Amino acid sequence: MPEASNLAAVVMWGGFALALVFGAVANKTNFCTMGAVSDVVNMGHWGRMRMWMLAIAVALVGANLLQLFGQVDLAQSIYRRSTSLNWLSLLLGGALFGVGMSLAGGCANKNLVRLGGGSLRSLVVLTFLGISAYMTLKGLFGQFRASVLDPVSIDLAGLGLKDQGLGGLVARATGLPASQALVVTAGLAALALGAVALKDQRFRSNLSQVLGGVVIGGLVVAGWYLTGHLGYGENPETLETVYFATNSRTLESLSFVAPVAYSLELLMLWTDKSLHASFGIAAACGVVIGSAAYALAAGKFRWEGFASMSDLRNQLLGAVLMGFGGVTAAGCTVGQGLTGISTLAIGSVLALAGILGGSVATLKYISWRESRDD
Amino acid sequence: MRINVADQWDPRIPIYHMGYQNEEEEHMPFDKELDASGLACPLPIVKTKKALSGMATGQVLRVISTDSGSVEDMKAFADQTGNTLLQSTTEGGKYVFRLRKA
Repeated sequence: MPEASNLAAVVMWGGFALALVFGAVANKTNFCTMGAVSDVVNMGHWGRMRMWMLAIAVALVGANLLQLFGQVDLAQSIYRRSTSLNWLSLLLGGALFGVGMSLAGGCANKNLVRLGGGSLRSLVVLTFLGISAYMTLKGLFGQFRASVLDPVSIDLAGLGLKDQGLGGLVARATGLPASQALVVTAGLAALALGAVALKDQRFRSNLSQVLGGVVIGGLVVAGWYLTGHLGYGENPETLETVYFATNSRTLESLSFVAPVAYSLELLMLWTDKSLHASFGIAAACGVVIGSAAYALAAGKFRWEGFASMSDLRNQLLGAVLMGFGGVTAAGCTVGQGLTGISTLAIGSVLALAGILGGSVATLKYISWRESRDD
Repeated sequence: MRINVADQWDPRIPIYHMGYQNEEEEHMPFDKELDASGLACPLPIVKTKKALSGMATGQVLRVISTDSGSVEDMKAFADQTGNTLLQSTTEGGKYVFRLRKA
């Protein structure tokens, strides 16, 4: 019993610690997916997008090195393990999440960071995001998701694939052995992203952004190691080897939509002994506290509320869309865009494409509407 | 159109405590003001872009924002578009910027 609770505690507190760093770094470097897209759409500035690409490159390299050396089995993650590629859920969920984050001034992780900075507006956004996400996991929206969206899928097993990993696809296409295909795919993708990110001299000389990208990518890798290796052990009660303290009951890394929902659930049903704090819940809390610590230390903490009726309306709508989209697409900007992509899951590529598409379209619309009004 | 800063200025507090480097900077003139208080990213930048597009070269736009991301955003916007960021400071808990149209 002590051993089981030890491992669960390690995973939980480890997740909290990683997230503390994430929150502080994200606040300091203004790490923001919606901001990165907005910078490109509104002023052709690729700085924050390069930070994102660098983070993905680092996560790709690190996660797949862990896989190569047998430390984790990424094929067990929620992103990879299903051979049923529910492409409609991934694309539509991603797109709705992208729309939502553009209306709500940032994605789930950005709102957690803002909450740490004193934004009560973000507290409201996160609460509605959590409720909407929970409704999509197990409630009214979930019924629609499960019966209409999820069944629209491609059976990858029929194509001879064991899971959703791009490495497997490359192996089949080229005849390379699995581990070589993995190295080639992950390596090429990381190299391409890293090269695009670092080729800009102005970005390279911005130490804060370069370090930010590297650290954030590294935190995703650390999450995999924590839940997939340190937190993988024998449950003394059942004698089964299990993954401890994760909501998905398998290895996880940073992701923020479902964890916000589970955090609300835990708070509301605290006396239900079957519920426990998990890696995800600890991570969501850690981002807020890490961001608050940085904000207070740097003198940037300030209370923030809603500006107007239209601000309230947009943020609420954005929150509900992010909750629904984030669960339907099995992840948010960090969940799919960083963590999912690091596993080379085909589904993660679709989800990220959806998120970017939805966000670009919404930002262009906002910009167009602004130039038209007077 | 000018805001009379003297109304809020307590003579006991040195000017630099209000975020201005010197008296000149505090009373720097501007041709147009955009109050983007309470608006979340990306609206402060979108509205700044629009406000600048209607101004002549050399004119100065004063922007007020409460979005903490706007400090970095304005710097990037100025770098990227060639408009000069003359001033980036805080005043009464809000972020205040002055941009000169290129």
